[in-house]
Amino acid sequence: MKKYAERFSMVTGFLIAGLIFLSKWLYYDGISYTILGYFYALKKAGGIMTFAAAANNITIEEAATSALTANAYPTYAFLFLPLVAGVLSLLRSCLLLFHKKTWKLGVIICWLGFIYLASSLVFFFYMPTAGYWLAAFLVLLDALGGRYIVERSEIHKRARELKQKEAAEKADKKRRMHFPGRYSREFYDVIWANFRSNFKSYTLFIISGTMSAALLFILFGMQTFLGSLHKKVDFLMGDRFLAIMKEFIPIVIFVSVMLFVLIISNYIKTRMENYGTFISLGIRKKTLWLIIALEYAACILVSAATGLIVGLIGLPALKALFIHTADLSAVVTVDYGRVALVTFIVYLLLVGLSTLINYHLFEHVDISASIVKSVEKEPFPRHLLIPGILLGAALIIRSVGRFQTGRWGEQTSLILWMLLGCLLLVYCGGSRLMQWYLKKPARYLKKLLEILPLRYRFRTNAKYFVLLLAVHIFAFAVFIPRLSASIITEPEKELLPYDFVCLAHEDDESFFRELDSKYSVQLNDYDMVRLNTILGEPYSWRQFFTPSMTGMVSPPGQHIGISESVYIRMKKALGVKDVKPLGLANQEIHIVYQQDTSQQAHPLDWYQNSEMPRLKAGAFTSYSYGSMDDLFPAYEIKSQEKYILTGMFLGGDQEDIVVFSDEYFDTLRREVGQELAEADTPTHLVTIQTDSSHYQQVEDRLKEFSSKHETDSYLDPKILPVYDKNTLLPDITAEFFLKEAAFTVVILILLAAGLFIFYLKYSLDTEELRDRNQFLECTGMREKDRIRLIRTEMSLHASGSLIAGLLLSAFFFVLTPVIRHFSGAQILSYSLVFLLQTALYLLLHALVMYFLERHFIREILN
Amino acid sequence: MNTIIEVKNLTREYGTGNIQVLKGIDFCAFEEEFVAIMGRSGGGKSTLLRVLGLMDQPTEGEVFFRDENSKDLWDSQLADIRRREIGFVHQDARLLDCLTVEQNIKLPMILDKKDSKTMQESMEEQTRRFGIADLVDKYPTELSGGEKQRAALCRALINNPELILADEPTGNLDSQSGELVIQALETINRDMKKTVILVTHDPWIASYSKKAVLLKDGVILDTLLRPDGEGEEVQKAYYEMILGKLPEL
Repeated sequence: MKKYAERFSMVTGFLIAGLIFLSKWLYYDGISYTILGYFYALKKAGGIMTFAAAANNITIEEAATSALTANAYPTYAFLFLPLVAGVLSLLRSCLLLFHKKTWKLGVIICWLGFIYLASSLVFFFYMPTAGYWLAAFLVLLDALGGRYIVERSEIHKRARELKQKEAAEKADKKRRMHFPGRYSREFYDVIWANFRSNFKSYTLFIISGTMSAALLFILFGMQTFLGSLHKKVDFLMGDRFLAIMKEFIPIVIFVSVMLFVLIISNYIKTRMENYGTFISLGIRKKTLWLIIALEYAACILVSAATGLIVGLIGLPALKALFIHTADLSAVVTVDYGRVALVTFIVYLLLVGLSTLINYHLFEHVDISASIVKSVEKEPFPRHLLIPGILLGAALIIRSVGRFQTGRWGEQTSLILWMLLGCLLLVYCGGSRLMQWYLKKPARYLKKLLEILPLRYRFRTNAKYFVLLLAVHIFAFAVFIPRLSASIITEPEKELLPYDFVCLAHEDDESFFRELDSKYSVQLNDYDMVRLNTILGEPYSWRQFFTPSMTGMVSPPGQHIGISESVYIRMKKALGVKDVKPLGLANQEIHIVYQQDTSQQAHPLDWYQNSEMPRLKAGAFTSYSYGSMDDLFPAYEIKSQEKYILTGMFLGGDQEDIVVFSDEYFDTLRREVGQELAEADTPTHLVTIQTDSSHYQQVEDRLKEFSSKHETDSYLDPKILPVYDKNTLLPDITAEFFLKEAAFTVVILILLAAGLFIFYLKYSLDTEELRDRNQFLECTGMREKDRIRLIRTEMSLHASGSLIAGLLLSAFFFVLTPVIRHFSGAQILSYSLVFLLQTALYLLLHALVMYFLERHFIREILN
Repeated sequence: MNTIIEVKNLTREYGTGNIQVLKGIDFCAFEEEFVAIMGRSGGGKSTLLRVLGLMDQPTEGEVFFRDENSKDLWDSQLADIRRREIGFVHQDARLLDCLTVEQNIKLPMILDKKDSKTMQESMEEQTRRFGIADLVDKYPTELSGGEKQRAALCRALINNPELILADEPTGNLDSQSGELVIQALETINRDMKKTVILVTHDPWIASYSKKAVLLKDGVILDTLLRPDGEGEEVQKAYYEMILGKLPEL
């Protein structure tokens, strides 16, 4: 091998020398030179500077200081390196030819080449040509190739040995792991008997899975049949439906995933305990996992199937209820096959997600853990307790504080802040309290048994307490208030007082005159300006991930601006006799939200949740940070109300009425009038009432009107030139139904989830409580006292979390009608409905809890 | 005599290293040996037994089963050893209530993919040996403590393992039943030539062994050897020897 390596080095050495001395090496001023040729040219020119000056058509004096020739000298000096390398290369090749020692010539040549290459990268004067690159390549090849040739056989030998070793190990593993044969029929009998006897551990799984699958089926089914109702405007399949879905689907998914995570965690641990004996008797892990996987798959399929069956019963019932409630004659269809397929896929995803969260259980199952139960005391959290308590309190206060301003709407994130605060208070505050309490034996010895769960299982008990608290807070702070507000909502017809509401332009006057004369409509024409806000929806990830250099955010909101006189006229047109003047000054506004009680509170302008909305009258214009104040001046809100002046077209999100003082409105009108030539925007608010005999003709004529003003919807397709009652009414009806159904279902889910979590917790604790009960019985504690002790322990989760949830939710219950601007009568109705629902929730909770407690006490005492 | 199981510098910790149950133990058991491991509660006896039974991995140290280091074995190999080479008798018998006595006894063979005929023959042989042949169709809930423990012994022997590990097998039994069980273990060792390692806190039960290892706070305090000879006198002397050492535990 060494011989071949030497021959290789000899040949490359000659080639390198040849390239260095004979090949074109560099290119300068249109001429290619060999190295020696370049030196000759320099000498002929009379020196480097002369040469460089001539090449660049400058004087020698200029050349001395010019950047063009700055690197001439360094590059000239470094050119000696390849020359030396060439000589050495030649020498080395000759020595190799005569089989003489070459000492370290190869290394020196390599280093010379490396330094020269480095210098070429730093000092740039001429352009290297092919000879340069070839020589560099050959030097590298020589350095590596020779080594490879020498070591090639060694490398191959090692590779072969490694391969053989791996093959041998693989064969050895195969031999050791070989477990031939098949399991007998008795194996399956044993597995089936074991599975059947532990039905409790998978019953929870199946019940929970059934509930989730049924709920998903009903939800998707509802979406299908409600979607089949929509007519011209895609409310239900669009934002309104999404808005409703966004309110409760995350909760449903969160509760489902949380329950599944707990159940699967419990299921896996229980199964591993059940199979503990099998493990100690030597069942292979792979076989065990296969068995558990088959059980798991069976549970998933069974629960999916039962869920679909329950859904198939529930959905038609719900559909019938809806048709009856909405008094519909339209055909309502449901594609059951498609709904079942979608339900199954989503259900599998939910289970998959929950399984992934529990992945650590699958990966790190420990044999000894499956046999030996842990009886270690759970440590109290010890670090950062006071900061945790303070932060927790701050989060709760912040959550309530933001909610009460109404500027953050009723976003779920506010509730999440509260929950996070509760979590910190429970863990940090609870731990601090326990540590204080336990400091003096005289204090806790009297209640030694009662505080045992908190003393030894603080983290577990705290975890379940927080989970239950979360469930109750969602029920009392979010969904019961929302359901109450939905129940007391105005009748649909009151939300659309006019048959048609048009946003007309200046040149539409003749159109409406003609309409009036032909069809004798009741027509009111009010002056208005189109208003744009900076941001028409809550700031979200959408805005975060699409930032703009100028500071613009989207989408903007659009509303209707009127004067105070018009406001009074509009109210009187609706039969209000005594309208108090608003007394607005310039830059002050009164907002009239066009929404019903069920719509969530929201600011007019979501931009930075400021107290002062920014409004631009007329057409929307792009802006920057610098021009924002001029184009979108901020206004002070003097007062707000919720009152239908035109109609609930977009759920109050847009097309709300903003009232200015008469003088200020005139100013705005003049500004808008000036820009109308460039950007035509609506300037007349026209309300139309017609009799039923002419309704269709008026509707058809207004279609032409809509076509003419299609560009009014360029910013947002939901903003229309004409809003007609017939189109909106079924959608509003469907929306109300969907909301009530959805909120009711969610509240029931939350109630069931709370009871389920309680059941799960005490199912897992039964054995430990039973052992403790037996011990206390042996020490002579009477049964009555033991039962009282168990009830005391359970009360923390049964009623403690409920009371805490109610108290914390009181803020939200009280503030909801305030931020939604309910009238006095509405507040009263809302309060009554809320109290009724709360009472119902508490009653159901207490009833089921009574039976659960009895069940567990019986289990523990037996 | 060949070593059947050996541990070197065995340490076992729980939690985050707060609780050290076994501290650098060196122990070995030879073929056909009958060893008793004694100690107070919490001394590490059961933990040691679980490590010997390859159900628990040491935190430090090594476990050799027939000169094979357990760390070099895959989980499946450890399972194979537990199934074929080791029979475990728990304090509470650990029979599965959902299976008949017959199914419980056959379980190791079922897991070893043995055919029904072989299983049946072995089961009948073991049940005859321990006098529970008429109980095979019953469920564990219908048996007394002694009968359950004998069924557990049958299960432990069904695959003809070389090593029997018994964790306080007489702990839950009355003296008469306990006597039957310990005599059965003695028979297993003497006549069937199996290695038996027994954990107990009862010095009389320990006196049936040939070697008593005294464990205190996770370390081996002493190893006592049974005097040469047979008979009650020898056993009594051995018992007195063990009893004398108990205060040190």
